[in-house]
Amino acid sequence: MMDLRIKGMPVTFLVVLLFTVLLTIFFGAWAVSADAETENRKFAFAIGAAGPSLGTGASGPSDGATVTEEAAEETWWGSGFLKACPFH
Amino acid sequence: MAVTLTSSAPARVMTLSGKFHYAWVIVAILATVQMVGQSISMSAGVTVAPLNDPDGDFGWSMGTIGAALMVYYLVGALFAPISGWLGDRYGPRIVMFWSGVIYAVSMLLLGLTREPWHFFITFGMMLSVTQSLAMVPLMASVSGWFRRRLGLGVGVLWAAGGMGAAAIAPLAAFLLDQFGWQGTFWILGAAGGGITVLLTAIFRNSPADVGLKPYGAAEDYVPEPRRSKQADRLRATVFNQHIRKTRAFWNLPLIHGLGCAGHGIVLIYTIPIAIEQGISFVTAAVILSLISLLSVGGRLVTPILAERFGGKQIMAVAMFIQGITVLVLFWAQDVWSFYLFAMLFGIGFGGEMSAYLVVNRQYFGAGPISTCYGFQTMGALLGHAVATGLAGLIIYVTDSFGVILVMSMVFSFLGSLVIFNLESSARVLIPDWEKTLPAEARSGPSFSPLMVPHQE
Repeated sequence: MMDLRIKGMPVTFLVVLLFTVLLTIFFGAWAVSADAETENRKFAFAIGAAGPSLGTGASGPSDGATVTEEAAEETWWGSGFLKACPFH
Repeated sequence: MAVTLTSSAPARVMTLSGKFHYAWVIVAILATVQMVGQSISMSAGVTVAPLNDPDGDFGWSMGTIGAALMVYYLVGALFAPISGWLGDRYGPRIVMFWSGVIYAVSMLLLGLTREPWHFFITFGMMLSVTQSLAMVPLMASVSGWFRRRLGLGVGVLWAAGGMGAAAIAPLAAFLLDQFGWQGTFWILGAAGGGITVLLTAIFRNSPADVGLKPYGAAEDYVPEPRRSKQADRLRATVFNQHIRKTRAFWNLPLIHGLGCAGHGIVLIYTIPIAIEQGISFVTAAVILSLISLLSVGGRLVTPILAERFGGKQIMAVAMFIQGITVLVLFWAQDVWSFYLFAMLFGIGFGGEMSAYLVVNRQYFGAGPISTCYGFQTMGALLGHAVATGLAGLIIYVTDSFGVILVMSMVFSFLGSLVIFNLESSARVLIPDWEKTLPAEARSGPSFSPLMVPHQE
């Protein structure tokens, strides 16, 4: 089995970690862009054991969601996503 | 069966007559503490409604509550390796005592919560630390009690803890209905904290502390010598230096993170997906409960199979089952297809999480494993945090559940691939780690790094 390492850490570990971070940045920036284009749509993260994360459509119980009343692109994390993603 | 308590300085020493080994008492204690620890996250779901109720005492926004839950996940993830290190350094018994005390104090303060910052501190930070203390070093400590059948011990521990934890959420909901916010958390705090502190009296760090051999030790087994605290600290330091050189040390937290991301998405969105198909909320909640209940079988059997056939293969199978069964949700339309999904997914979900202690034994032998297990727990919590955030983003931009289900499968299958990149679990990866230790810090003559060789 291959045992390639960078600074002692296996390449597999680093590649999957990088993939996850890039995926989060991509979808984060996409969501912030969509938020900027869509009025009256509350941006949300679902956190916890159950529940939809949107202010649109899906219904049901929610035990946690971060809903920003201000435009997502104006927040520090929203602008961070947009700056980090080369596609948005 | 008879339990005899005798006094022997500095601690009371317990011996058991009959065939019932004290290791099973330790398993029962740890299962109980596991229930207490999990009651924190399990009760989180039922606290949201009263906190969010605009006509209630709080009326907080979902954003505030969600941010506190995010803090809870992140603090838990960051503290997990630290709590593991505390277990290695001071022993799980003292950690157990303090986790009971902090649990009681945190719940007392949570009952007095009136402002969001109170909630951030009590729930987001204090209870997160408490859960980490209760789950990481204590669960890891079961390893030292078993020479053979560690898989059975771990399986029983996870299964019992899982069944108890499944009952916590309805219990918390009942208490909230009957006694209100303050009464509920004071009752939970007094009961959980009290039980944990009381159980400390009969909990012991290792079989040597009660003059016993580990369960399944050979007749000629010579007990571990009593070592100084300095020697134990040196052992932990050297052990952790050695395991960091293995691929398994890095990849196991990653695998746990991917596995938790895979099932975390499903656990969050099964209810809304079922509701979207026209199933009532109550029935949808039953589906979620069924997943938890049916995962008990996977929790019980997977560590046993991992010990018998090798953790690497069994973990890969469990992860694959977790991923492939998500396909059922794409076609699930009636309640029976959701029940079928709950049954199949529960097997993989239960198996994904429960084999790590056995795998750690197979890879790293019988060294001080708490810090290593802490990193694996850190991976699991980060997996949950990333998955929930990412899933929320994806649903937002796609306005459907389809992509997140694919994402769940991708995480699980990616986890399976990383498992294949692990070293073989047929041999201990660091058999010589004790050679650099001074004689007084080494294991006794009965030390054997791999307890039950298996075919691979």
